[in-house]
Amino acid sequence: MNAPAPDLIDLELTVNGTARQVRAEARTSLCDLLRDALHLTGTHAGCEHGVCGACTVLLDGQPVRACITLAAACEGRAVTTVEGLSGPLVDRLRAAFHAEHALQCGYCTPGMLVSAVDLLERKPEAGEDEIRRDMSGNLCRCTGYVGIVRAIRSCTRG
Amino acid sequence: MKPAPFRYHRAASLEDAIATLASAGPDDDVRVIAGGQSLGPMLNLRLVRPTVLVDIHRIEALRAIEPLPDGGVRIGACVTHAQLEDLPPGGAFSAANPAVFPAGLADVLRHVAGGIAYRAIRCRGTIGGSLAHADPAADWPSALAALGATIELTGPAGRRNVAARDFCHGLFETAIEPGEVLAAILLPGSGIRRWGRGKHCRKAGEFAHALAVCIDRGGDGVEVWLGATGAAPVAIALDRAFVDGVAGSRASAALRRTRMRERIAASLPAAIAPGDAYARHLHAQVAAEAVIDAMANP
Repeated sequence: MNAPAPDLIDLELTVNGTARQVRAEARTSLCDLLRDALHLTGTHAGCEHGVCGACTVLLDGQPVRACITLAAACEGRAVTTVEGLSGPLVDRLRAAFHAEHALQCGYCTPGMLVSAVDLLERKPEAGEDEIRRDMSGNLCRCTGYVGIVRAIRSCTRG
Repeated sequence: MKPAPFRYHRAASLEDAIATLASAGPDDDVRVIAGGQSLGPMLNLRLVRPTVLVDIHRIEALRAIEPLPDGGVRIGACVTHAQLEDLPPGGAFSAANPAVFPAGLADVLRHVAGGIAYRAIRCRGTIGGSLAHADPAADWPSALAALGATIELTGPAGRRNVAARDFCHGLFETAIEPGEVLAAILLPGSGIRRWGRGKHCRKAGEFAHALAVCIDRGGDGVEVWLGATGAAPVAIALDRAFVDGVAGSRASAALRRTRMRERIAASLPAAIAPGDAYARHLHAQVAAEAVIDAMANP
């Protein structure tokens, strides 16, 4: 099979509030662009097929899987990674993750935080069942979910 | 876990996408990508190795949810599951558009969309992309067949419509011809009297092992559509007197569900999970839940 010559694309996008210009191969995922080209290694590549949630970032404020979002599709858009999460809610969530021992190895944590911020903004009064259902797209393989759910719950208005 | 190289074209319009598909060389394998939530994993796993990707997700005309003059609804192919999940309660199209959906339709769309995978997938995945991909375990193929939807395809020869019930031909096979793009989903304007849904997944958000949708618009019979059958969605027609008899009986909920399941199991096509008694039981059980759920709705 003849491999086509690499298709290089020039992209302009905003990452954590800063305008960035990057050249990348068309096949580059947003996850690899963030990690390899922009050196923002907070976004973790886990399963790389959309199942584990470790690479979840915000794209124009909405959570997406960076591993199955093409970088080329993000031209002109705003990306927020775990490094760029800020504000009173995020401060409370970070403190709660610490207090509730919601991480151990930390591999899933960037995706957990991004998904939890989105959940808390959409459903500030979510109960435990809703938190568990909405966080089911983020897998943790060591600490377990009890501390994670407890940490998120402590940031609800319930 | 990286895709094989491909060329990427972000289509500016539907016409541009169709022209790009038409200009492909004989050695090209061209794929249309919208949200990429089905194609993305397949690219990463190299289950597909297209040479050209035509990205249609920025085409504004494909991202609208609009009322039709006949009272129906047109949903652009690139409308995300999250957009449908977030339809305002009360059936209005949006805060800016006070026109209302046909009775019950927004509730069904909201429920089906909200049950797909996870929010991060729903924020990118599109209704048209899911349908064009035609994974039998996906939620839209059976739901749109049950809703009596029409699929609008556009190609070099112009526009044509295919009934959703005839759209999926089997595993990853659809009525889309080479060079065509799925442009919109058209939903009928007739109101929905009652509806119900059954879905079985071992883990929240994963692909379903059994799926069923029952839409009741009045009429003599009641139809329940089964998804996740490994091929195209399947309809099972039930006699209204039987359905009303079971739904209105004073038997326990468990007994009513059992009677419904046994009736559906007797009509379950032999091609569904042949030789797998557990899977066939699951399909019949989930379909029974959809019908009982529909009858319990006001």
